Amino acid sequence: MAERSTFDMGRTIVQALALLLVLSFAVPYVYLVMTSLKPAAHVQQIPPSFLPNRISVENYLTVINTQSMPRAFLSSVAVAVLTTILSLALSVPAAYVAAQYRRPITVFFLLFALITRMVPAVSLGVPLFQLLKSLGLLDTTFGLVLAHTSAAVPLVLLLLAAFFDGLPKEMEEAARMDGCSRFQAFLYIVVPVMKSGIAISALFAFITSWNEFLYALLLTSQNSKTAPIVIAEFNSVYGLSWGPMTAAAVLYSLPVVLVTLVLQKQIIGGLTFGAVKG
Amino acid sequence: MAKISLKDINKVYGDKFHAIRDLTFHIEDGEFMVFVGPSGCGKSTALRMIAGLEKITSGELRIGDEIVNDVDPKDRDIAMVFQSYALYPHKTVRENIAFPLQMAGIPRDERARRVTNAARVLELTDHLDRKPGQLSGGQRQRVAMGRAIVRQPKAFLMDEPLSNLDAKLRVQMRAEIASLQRRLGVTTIYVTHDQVEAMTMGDRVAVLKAGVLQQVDTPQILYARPRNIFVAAFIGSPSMNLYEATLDGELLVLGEQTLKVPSSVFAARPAIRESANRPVIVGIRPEDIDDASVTTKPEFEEIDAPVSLVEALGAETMVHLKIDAPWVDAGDPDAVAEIGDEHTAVGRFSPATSVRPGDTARLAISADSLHFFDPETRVSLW
Amino acid sequence: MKKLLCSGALSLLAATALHAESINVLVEGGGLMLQKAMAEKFTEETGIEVNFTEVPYQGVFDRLSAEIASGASSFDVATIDVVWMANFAPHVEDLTDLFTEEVTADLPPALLADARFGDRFIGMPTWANAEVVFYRKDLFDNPDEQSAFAAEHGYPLTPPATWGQWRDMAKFFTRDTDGDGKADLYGTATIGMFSEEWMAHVLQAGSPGVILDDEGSVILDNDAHAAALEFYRAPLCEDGSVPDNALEIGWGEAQNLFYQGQTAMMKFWAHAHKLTPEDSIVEGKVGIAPMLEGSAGIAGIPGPWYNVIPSTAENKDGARQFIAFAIANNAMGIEAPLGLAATNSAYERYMGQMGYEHFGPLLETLGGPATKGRPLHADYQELVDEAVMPAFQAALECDGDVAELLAEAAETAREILN
Repeated sequence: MAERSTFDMGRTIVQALALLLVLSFAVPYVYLVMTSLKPAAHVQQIPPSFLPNRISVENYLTVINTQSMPRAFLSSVAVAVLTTILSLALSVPAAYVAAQYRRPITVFFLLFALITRMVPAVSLGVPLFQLLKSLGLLDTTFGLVLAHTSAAVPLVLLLLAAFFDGLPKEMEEAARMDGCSRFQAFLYIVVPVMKSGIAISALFAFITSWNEFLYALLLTSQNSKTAPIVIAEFNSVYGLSWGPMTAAAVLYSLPVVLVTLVLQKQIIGGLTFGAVKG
Repeated sequence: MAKISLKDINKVYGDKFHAIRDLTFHIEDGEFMVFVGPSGCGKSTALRMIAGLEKITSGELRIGDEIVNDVDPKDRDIAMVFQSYALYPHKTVRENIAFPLQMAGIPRDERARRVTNAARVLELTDHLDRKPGQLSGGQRQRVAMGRAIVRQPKAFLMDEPLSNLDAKLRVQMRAEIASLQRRLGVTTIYVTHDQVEAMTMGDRVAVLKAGVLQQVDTPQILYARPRNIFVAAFIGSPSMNLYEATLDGELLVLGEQTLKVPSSVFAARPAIRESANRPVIVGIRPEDIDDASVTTKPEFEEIDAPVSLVEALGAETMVHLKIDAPWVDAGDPDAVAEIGDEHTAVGRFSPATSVRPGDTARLAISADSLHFFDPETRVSLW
Repeated sequence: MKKLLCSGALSLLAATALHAESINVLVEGGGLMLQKAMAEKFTEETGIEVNFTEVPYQGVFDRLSAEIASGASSFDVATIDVVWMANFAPHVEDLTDLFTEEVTADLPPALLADARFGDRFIGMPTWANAEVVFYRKDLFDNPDEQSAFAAEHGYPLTPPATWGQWRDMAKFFTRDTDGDGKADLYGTATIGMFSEEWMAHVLQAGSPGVILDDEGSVILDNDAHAAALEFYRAPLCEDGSVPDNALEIGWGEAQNLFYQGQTAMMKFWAHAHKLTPEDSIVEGKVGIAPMLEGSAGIAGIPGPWYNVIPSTAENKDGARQFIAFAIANNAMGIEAPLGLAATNSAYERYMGQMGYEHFGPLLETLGGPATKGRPLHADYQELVDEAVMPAFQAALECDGDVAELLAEAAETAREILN
């Protein structure tokens, strides 16, 4: 009995610490949400107030009624979704081969992918600009998708390679013995088995594109400008748009929250991958 | 169902590692063939080449009458059971078993009928809707079997399918697989490192060492007439005791002691008849050594040896003995490490024995069952 | 049917003709607002389409730098902050021919000075801004306050014009109105996140320039810099007439405090006069006065923006037409929400009208005897970030000797320049 109660005590402490940790992550976001609900004139106060003294949706209305924000939002969705699809289409087979058929060349391939992430994105901006300009893809959704894919693929590739590393090679072999071609084995067995890892990678690819600022700034003008740029525009030198900016940021975060909730099961499955091997 | 034949099969990795060397043998239709050998002997590689999962460097592989060297695994019509089972974790048991049928384009009704059958045979009927993660080790093993038998392929390939099970379950499954194979009559190649599995399951057993086939024979012949000292030591448990000795006429000089070799031995092994001072390697199986004071052996030769360890197992007593002659290493890398620096001989004594460590035992050796090998070639002398 | 096809083809031709000439303009949010109406009129009159690309403030610099570096700009015109002029000077077209006598005569000298790089004009002013004094008319015009102030300080309560008045009035209005023992109305707020306001005081104190003199020598450690910094931190460190979290206060925060009625005065960019939120308690009660004066008289730091033509522009001719048209129609920006322009004539046209009370003080500040632009130097931003800000913010910690801090800053600045 005594033992039982000390056990519960320990558990309570752990849970309290976990809660504290979660809160420390959540506070800035909650503050963002609170700020977005304050009337424009009360956004900044001395001393700062956490809770709005009056709930107001005026910031949200301001954002929704701008011409640029809804458009940029749609553009962001298109770019992020296409980037995710393209990144996965390129990375899933590549990561699988690199992880399962390890050769010096595949190791080099993965390391090289890593190197591209070590170069500051800024230094790739100008070459990307020239490249897209010469292809006539500046300020197009597809052009930005290509740029974002170039940023997402190395990340997704390494992530997936780590997941595929944990996949027994027999999985593909068993499928081939069961009558699959290599590609069928990959498609019918490997991909479904790895869906948690792929889901996490998809989320990362999506977020990479969703929050990307620099390439979007350099490579778009009017047609395919994404929301991060428009959100930053609220912070004009002459502007006083802290309220609309936070409202836009909250709205903009919702799809990621939504995607994360939808993929929750896969993500937790992916995070504990390896513990459930067999 | 089909026969399988290998002719001069070689497997070389890169330019360096020669994993399989000139492997040649023939497996009859419906035969249960076991590949056995220590780890790294190439038995799994051989199996995987037959499966089509490894490329054949040179040689000719036939399944049925067709040369299949370059045929994709899916077109070889053989089923394989993996050591890890390689069940599809996202599919239910039913879907796992049905998957090969689905890939073969078998209609849904037929598929369901055959899955039900296989499940009944393997006693998996109650678990069909579970995922592999919810099954015990033995049940997973059965699912892996189910995936193989449901298809009625030309051959089953099994790569150490029981090595992940506990000892008790292993013995039970061993019998079940053997009887299932006999019932289905499908040509089967079974890879194991466990010579007991090999001996109990196989119609014939192929012993491999370092990529080279040592001997293919029925278990009885492997036991009775091992071709060389490796096979002699590998087959049988505990291992055959091997010592350097000298054969002089009908006397075997083993260290300081001598045994008289019966004439029946020379009749069977003309190669050693009438030899004078000929160095040999003599092999004595533990079951041919007993306590002279209590033995029921009708005929035996006697020598003395100090006892270092006694293991009473009930039905028999294993006695470790110090034989005063140079010990011979048979070359099995998996052989159990010896006690201390000493290489002891093992005798399988009758339980009536009263020897104790430190005693000098009087041994009864069944001299008509002695094995003789050439010290140079290490091949059996017949 | 055939006719229909024909007319379709014709309108297509017409459309292509219309689209045949266009210019792309890179702007920040403010640049778009201030030039949109003018650009529409420009298209109407010339047929040249104007495509604005709006990016966030820092984006203007990043985007233009990247495009120039790539050698293939998408932009024919960029509207840039004066602080970037030195960086882009080698990469923009010479606009000297657009600076006719008529144009130069109509621009405040400080704006002209910043438009010039070496012996050529490289940017055309689009609008100028400067910090002026904002005060609460409901407080300053209140007879009770006036008599109380006069009794305390021996001179009448008028909009502050000098350093001494500023400090007196800030102290006077700092009070605890709800009796909870904590001040809830402050005289003003000290901005700790940006140093431009202090720079204006440096000029008021008679310095020949901010950070650098005209020869490019570091003068961060001269007496005027020190005196201005002492004055700048006095309300915070001596008088207690500002909120004590100065280092967390930037433009937006200072502006909000004023609109929320928590400060009685602020020095702020003039355009804000038109932007007082409708729900602010000070709406309709905001008075504007010129920037403070020091021993050298009134001085402000101009915040002008310039139209430049990147050397990589494709339609330079169209760009020139646009810039010429923009300066000729400079007054049109005043109708935009920010309500700013560059030329004297544009401001004068609206002076005295309702809602444009800030123009008089703004013009007076821009034309102030000591008003001068920040140094046009490619390393300006680095000088501010690495040399000025550490000393500036250390001074606002209130311990530390101002002259010593500035001497250190001057040392750092010299290292940067060498």
